[in-house]
Amino acid sequence: MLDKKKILYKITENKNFSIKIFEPYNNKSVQFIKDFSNELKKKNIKKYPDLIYLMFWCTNKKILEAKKNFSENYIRLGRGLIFHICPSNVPTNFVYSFFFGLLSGNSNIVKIPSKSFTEKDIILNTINDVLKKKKYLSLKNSNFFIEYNQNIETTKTISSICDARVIWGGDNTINTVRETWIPERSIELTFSDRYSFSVINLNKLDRNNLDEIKKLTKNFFYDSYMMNQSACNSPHFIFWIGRNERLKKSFWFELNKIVNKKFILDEKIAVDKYTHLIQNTINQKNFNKLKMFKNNIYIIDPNKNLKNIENMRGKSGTFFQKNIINLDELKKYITKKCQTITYYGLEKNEIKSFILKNNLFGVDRVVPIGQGLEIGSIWDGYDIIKSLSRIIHVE
Amino acid sequence: MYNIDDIIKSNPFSYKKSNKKKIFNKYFSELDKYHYKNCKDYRKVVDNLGTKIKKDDKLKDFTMIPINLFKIFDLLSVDKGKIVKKVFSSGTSGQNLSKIFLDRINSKNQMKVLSKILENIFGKERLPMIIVDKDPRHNAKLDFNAKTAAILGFSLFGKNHCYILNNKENVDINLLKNFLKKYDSKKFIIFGFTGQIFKYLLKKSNIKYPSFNFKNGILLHGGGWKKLEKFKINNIEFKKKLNKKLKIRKVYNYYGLVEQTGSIFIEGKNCGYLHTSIFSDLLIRDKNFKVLKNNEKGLIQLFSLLPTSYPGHNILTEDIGEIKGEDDCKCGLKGKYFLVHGRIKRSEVRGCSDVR
Repeated sequence: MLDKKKILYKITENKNFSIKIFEPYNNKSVQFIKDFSNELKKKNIKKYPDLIYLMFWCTNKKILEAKKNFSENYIRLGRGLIFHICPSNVPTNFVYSFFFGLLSGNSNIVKIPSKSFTEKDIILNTINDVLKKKKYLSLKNSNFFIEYNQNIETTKTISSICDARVIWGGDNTINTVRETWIPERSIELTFSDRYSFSVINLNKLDRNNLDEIKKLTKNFFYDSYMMNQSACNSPHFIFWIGRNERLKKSFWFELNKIVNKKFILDEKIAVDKYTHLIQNTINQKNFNKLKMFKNNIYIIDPNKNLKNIENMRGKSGTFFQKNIINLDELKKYITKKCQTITYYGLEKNEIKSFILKNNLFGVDRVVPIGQGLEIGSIWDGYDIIKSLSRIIHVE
Repeated sequence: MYNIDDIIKSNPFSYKKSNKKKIFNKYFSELDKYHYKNCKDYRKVVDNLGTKIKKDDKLKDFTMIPINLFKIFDLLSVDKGKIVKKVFSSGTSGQNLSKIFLDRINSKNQMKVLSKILENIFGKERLPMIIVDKDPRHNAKLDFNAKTAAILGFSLFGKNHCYILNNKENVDINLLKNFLKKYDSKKFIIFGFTGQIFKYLLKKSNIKYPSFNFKNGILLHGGGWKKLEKFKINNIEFKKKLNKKLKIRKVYNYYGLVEQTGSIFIEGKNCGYLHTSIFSDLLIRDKNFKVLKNNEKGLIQLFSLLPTSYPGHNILTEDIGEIKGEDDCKCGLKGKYFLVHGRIKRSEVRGCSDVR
């Protein structure tokens, strides 16, 4: 029999640390996230768009009041201890994973990125500041953040006592972690490397309505440039429905204007982006034509006989594009790796019937362009809150 | 293909702008065509970027290879069987190694040109040489990393070599004293990486004038200032310190890439600037790769006539620098003269400047 207490003490060095469970969306967890947001506001975060996004996210009613969607026929409780393994290269991901663990009524041990990020430090300081408040003593003694570098022993130890394991990361990370044992009743959620793209229906875009084109490009800009196109949900490819080269031209033209104005292109990003492009020109068999808007946007037209697109990735504003006739043509490009499709000019029902009709193995989110980066509790095909809580059937 | 011997006879720092341009651009354009024809990957890049080779080329219009590409691909312009030497370099930032493939001719040309360039500093005669490092030949596994290659390469231009670091990474004082006793009455060479010179001759050393007489020493150093960043020391202060503590008056900095070994850039006599030779050229570009004017800081793009067995003739570096002028440097060397300000840094702010 494992001595949970001993292990917890070894990991947290906190004698009072214990695994507590709560109801999902309990007041304390909701309040904690709101307090976190207020505290974050006081910090100097102007320079960090991902922290500003986080600050607003924490006050989002859709996130905090999603309890309404729960069935009233059952009661729910957290599963116990959640072990979050978060990617080392994304500075803010770990806090969302933690909040989902908290909102679902659990205690949490969160492996934070080992790389140094100012954002990471700001988030951790803010969490500590809030946890200092007396009313959060129980949370302080049931949540812990740990930083270590690929030490599989530590992963083993924490895994051996967790009730659910949440792994974010590349295929290698997930496979390595999966080799370590978790208890029989424990569950695991994996968020692996994914691919996302956009569909734009030009038939629905009026070429005389410049405001609409501007709005569309602005939305597209946020989806693709905010995280330097490195998030799983940043688009790499645009499929155009309805042949209209003039409209496409004005789309790129307007996008370039926004990038010019809003994107912080520095020498490092420029060199990395150019290197990545050159790498693509050597690696891609599909390379046909390239258009460059300075170093703001690179646009690549692949060859006609395109098969698999999931390795056709851009960096800091590099996009592949292709004309298609209708939605059905997309079927062959939607592999299991496909996560988010952002769209313009399509009807919800049209999308739903396309997905059902084709029995797709891939795609977990289809959202309007501009909402690509929004993180919700429905993610990669899971309802995270429901998955991390337990149903108790009482009749 | 052209023969490097055609231009090797005269002083590489004696060409004025118009003359240099005529010769360099002609040779460079030939070299570029050669790589386009013989390196499949380079051809793909040029074709895909749509930068067609024209007849009357300007240097700025040729396709640049970003320096990290040598970490990702094995780039070759000759058959693999012809390779006689591979040089690896980690640079300072990466986990992956740069791999440079040299055939016999390329390797030979590197030494020929380096010798011609160093003549400007050392003269034609081979001089006794102190090397502020360990003897790399004592290293059991002789992996040809860039550092070893540089030490062995430069050592060929001196004689009676004295590697002053022992295996414990300390200065072997007796060895040094013996060397100076024998040779300090005439010209001799001191060679080392900038960081090593600072560490072992300046910072924590008991090597001081007058018990160590370096007055006749000619010091050549290079390899970057990155390790000295925390000491906030620049080229001018570095020289002052060497002068004050050791009375070394002839101090020359060099700058070069392992990808362009041989055609290094050297500092002129007491001018503080690096100089191009007939074998090399450079441009400064902004973040949109627009070519910048003199006195504007930006990314350094380096051209070399030497790489033949691999397409390293036109490289976009990750270094920041600025050109100060051409042909009119007070040191007398002709060509462009410039400063290197170090490696580009990843900016803290990512992505966009604001959020909705």
